[in-house]
Amino acid sequence: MVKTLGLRLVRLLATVFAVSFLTFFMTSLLPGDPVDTIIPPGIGERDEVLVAQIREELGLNDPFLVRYGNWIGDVVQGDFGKSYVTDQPVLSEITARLPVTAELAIVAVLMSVFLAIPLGIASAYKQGKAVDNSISAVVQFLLSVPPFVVGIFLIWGLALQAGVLPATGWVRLTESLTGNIESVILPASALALSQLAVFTRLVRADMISTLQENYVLSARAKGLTDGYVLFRHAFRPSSLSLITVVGLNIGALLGGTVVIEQLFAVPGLGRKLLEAINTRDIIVVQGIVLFISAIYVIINTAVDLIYMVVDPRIRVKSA
Amino acid sequence: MKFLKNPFPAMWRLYRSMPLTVKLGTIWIVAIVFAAIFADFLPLKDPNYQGFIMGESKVNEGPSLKHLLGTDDLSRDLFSRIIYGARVSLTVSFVAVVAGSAIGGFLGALVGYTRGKVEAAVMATVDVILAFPGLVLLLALVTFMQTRSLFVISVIVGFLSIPPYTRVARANSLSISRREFVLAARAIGTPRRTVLFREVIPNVLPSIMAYALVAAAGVIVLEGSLAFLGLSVQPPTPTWGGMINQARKDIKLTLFPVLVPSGAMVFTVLALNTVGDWVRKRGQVRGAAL
Repeated sequence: MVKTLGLRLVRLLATVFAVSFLTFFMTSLLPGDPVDTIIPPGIGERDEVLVAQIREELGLNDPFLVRYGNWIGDVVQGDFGKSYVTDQPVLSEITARLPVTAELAIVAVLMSVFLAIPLGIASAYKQGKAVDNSISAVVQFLLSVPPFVVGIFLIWGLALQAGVLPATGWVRLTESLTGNIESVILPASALALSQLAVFTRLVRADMISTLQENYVLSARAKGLTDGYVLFRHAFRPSSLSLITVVGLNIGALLGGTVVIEQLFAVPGLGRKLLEAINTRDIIVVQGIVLFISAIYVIINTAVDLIYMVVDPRIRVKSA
Repeated sequence: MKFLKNPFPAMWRLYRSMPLTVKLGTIWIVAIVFAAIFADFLPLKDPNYQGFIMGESKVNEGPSLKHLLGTDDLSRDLFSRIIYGARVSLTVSFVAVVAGSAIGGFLGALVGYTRGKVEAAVMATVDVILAFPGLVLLLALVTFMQTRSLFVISVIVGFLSIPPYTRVARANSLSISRREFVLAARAIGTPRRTVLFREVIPNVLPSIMAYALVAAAGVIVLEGSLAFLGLSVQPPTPTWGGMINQARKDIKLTLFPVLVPSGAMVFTVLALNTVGDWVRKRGQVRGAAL
């Protein structure tokens, strides 16, 4: 067990390291000069001495591997560099916006999981009946609607027509609890609906095979109620694959937050990323991409570990 | 010359065997692909012609005989714009499918069969690329492009499509390479290269094809998200995502211009998912029968 854990951690570090290299590689070798961001060309006379000085200061004249070494060395010490545009440390820009994105993502996951479980179980329990068919049809449809389209229709229906929730904007938790809840509902629902479809499908498929197991039959034969058997006996093994898929879907979710934050004008990490992209603030893009990807890798490893703890069969196999 | 035989009866039989939803999906895909390819020859209005300049049409018009699906906020014909917009979505997903299945599929089938150090190296690279959330990696790559032409976007999305196909192909190739018929082929002295092309790859193909349909749907959403953020092919080229983004600014006045491109995108994705599911299930039945 300890050995497996150690191996996983080594692999985690190696992956994060490789991800950082690829991030730096992509953003450095592609066309575009960071100095152009600091002193835009074409506006008046460009002081070539100053440009050369900035290049030297940023270390842009160094060979690629040296630059990567300097960058990753600083990153390990928590220094992601300074934004070319705002001159703020990249790390503080990230940490200022992280709580917003984290709240959005967590609320979206909770919403989708807690809706998907009863829907999937009901669908499997009534397999082939009207309930199952209608749930499956809605799920298949939701699976095909991108989050930003869902978002626009939510804004149209619930904010503009019904006027019950704010269309865009964000109220911080520290300012007002009700305001915060009101501003998180719509963007989180937009993210949750497509995830909900994935999870419901999974729970249904899993439960259908579990319900054919002998121990479910014997639990029923003992006279336990259907509801008790469904949740206590049948759903428990299915929760394992649900955990895995939730973990795997964090990637899609983090990508989704970029679009959803833009649509709902939520000041999170994704919006900052787009801002940095539009101002060609390369060092901020590098920092945020590395940060988001590292989180994604860590969550996936954590999911694997949870899986090992929860399912004794895997623990034995891998040890 | 088996392949010169008229393929239409076989295609008709295949079509007849589909459930209703799959039939509808197939019809939609064929229709939209046909319209996108032959858009220049169809009696369509110029997708970038702004009718209000000459006073012919107004902005955000509803559907009429003159504009079948109405007009957008610059009084351009929406029907014509979704068909020209389909070109972008479909080209990008087509390139992704071709690059993914040809490069990724081949690579995966190869390393799943040969194993060894090459496999370890290829799969490690795949794992690292897949360690990025897709859209975030795409954004990072697109940022630094000087021009965002259809070619550039297709190449980037195509490149990002390779790793998941490699993973799917390798998983299938691993299990197929262990089957008796592969062992038998090796036992009678067939060269490894021939075994790979004659035995392994043909058996990996069906699962790649089923994955390709679902992955193509994913690419349409991905390109749509990129276009929605204004980072796909540059205007004035119409894109579905771009149209949605543009129309949402007038959503207080009218929802219809959002509805049209959203509908086009959702139906296409739904059609690809439905057909993809059907192909996958058919493949499973066949695989089990072997």
